[in-house]
Amino acid sequence: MFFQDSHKFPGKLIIVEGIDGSGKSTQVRLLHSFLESKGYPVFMTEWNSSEVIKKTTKEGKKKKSLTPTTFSLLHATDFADRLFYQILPPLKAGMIVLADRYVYTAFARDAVRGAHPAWVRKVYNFAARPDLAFYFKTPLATAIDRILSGRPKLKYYEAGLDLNLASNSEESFKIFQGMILKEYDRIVAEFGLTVVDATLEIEEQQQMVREVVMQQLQGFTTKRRNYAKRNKVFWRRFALPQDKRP
Amino acid sequence: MPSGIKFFGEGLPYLKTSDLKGKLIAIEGTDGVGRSTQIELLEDWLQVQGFGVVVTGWTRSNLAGAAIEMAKGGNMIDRMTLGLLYATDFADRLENQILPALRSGFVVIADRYIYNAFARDSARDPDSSWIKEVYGFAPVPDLVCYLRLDVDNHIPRVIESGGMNYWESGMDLHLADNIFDSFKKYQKTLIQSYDDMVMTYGFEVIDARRSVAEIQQDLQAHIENVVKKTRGSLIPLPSGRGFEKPAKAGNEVANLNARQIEKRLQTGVTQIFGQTGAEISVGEERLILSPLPPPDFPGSNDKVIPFSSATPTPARSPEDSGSTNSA
Repeated sequence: MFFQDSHKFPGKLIIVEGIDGSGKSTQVRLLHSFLESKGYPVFMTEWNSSEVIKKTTKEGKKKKSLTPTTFSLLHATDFADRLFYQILPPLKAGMIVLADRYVYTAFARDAVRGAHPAWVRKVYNFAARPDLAFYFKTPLATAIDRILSGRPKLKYYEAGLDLNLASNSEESFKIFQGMILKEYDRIVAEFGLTVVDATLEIEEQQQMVREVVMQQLQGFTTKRRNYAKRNKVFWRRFALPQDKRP
Repeated sequence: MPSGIKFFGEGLPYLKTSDLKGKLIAIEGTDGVGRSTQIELLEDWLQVQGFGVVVTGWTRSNLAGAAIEMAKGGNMIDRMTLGLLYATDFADRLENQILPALRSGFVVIADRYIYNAFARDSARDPDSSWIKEVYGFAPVPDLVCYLRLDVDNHIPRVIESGGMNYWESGMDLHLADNIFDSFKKYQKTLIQSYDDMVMTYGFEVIDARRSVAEIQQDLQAHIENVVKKTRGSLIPLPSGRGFEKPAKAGNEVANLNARQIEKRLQTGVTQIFGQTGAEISVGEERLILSPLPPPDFPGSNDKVIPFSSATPTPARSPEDSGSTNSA
């Protein structure tokens, strides 16, 4: 599979991107409810949530031992696991997959951390190309206000402290997010993401998103059958053995 | 930009790599060809000559080693995820272990290198070049020795040394309905993949059907060529190590008396590491290159690489050593 080409699966892949505090998670949740209310079978997946690698990532972050390359590869591993166990099965089954963050997050962050942009694109070449990708464009000041007011303390990698941009974590966070914003602008142009003005009211943004999505879904007829819904879908037949590290 | 090492692809743009003076030597070969035995002997041989040696093993990183074991235990991981997990492991060892050691002038012996990942992947999808692109950040070794063993000679050894396991038998490929036939088919494919890489990557092929001593002799000859280029001539190993050395080296040793050997040893090491000694971090372990003979050598767990000195100064402490290389 190649990222350049559109995927051949019967389902639809819709993803949202944006810096922290852009409001993309709110929007994707609203979209989720909307699509379900329309009777579509929807599966939702989040960045950085695979069980295989969770502990390793957490430990690496705690020990601050991650380099730009290991940081990038850990996220790619996480993504690969989710792709094969969470994203592709519903796509093959003709469902709608909503992803909160996708490979573009890695393209932006890893490039800012110093990994070669061409290399990062090659690493993620196995990913399925989304049918629709929204980018929630936010001015830096707005996003930072939202994040800093809602969070007591910034984490090391979240604030980009590994880049030695500033000694103060808030200062570092601001510079880091500014760099990621610039990188996103480049990515929007390169991959043709659909830009949503994230300074608009939530319902205005959602209205736009829904219009674009419904246009994309023209001719897409798969509806949910009438069966009970579980709150979480498990694609794994077997659980992974527990990681016994303390 | 002038660079001390070459990379397979994009390299590590955020790191300075022009100051790497050490040598990177990869020992490749399927499981059970005797890599670890040979590497132990090489480590001894190089250390006796005053070379700092770091051995790095595939899937042995602090970061991802445990995750790999866990993922393999579940038998429910796909080719690409496992491939990326291996790459993560390698990247961690590269930046926290291999590169700092090369920067300090060590000889780094890699017990399997990225070719092993290429072989594994090509056995699963021969047309894919993806994994090779993932490893674009890997440095090209100064020397790759490929210990080649055909599958029929290989099998008894594997059975003797612990048997066949799920992944080494390629059971995920469903090549056969039992582990033996699957192992045989899978290892044949792996050997074929390695053979295909010999020309592309310039492997030195070493016939691993022979005795430990014969294989070691070949390895030493190849390594000597590589290390010599920058370091001047090596001091050959005094006899009595349990295996034969090349005849030429033996003659040379006969012509040197003990004092001369020690002097050359001292100068050689001082040239490499300076007078102060050096300290590097390898994962969580701290390696100290000391200009003093440590009191508890050999057999110490401290991994001190010594060379002789006449001055009996008190034991070094990590804090006051001259150069540090924290990853």
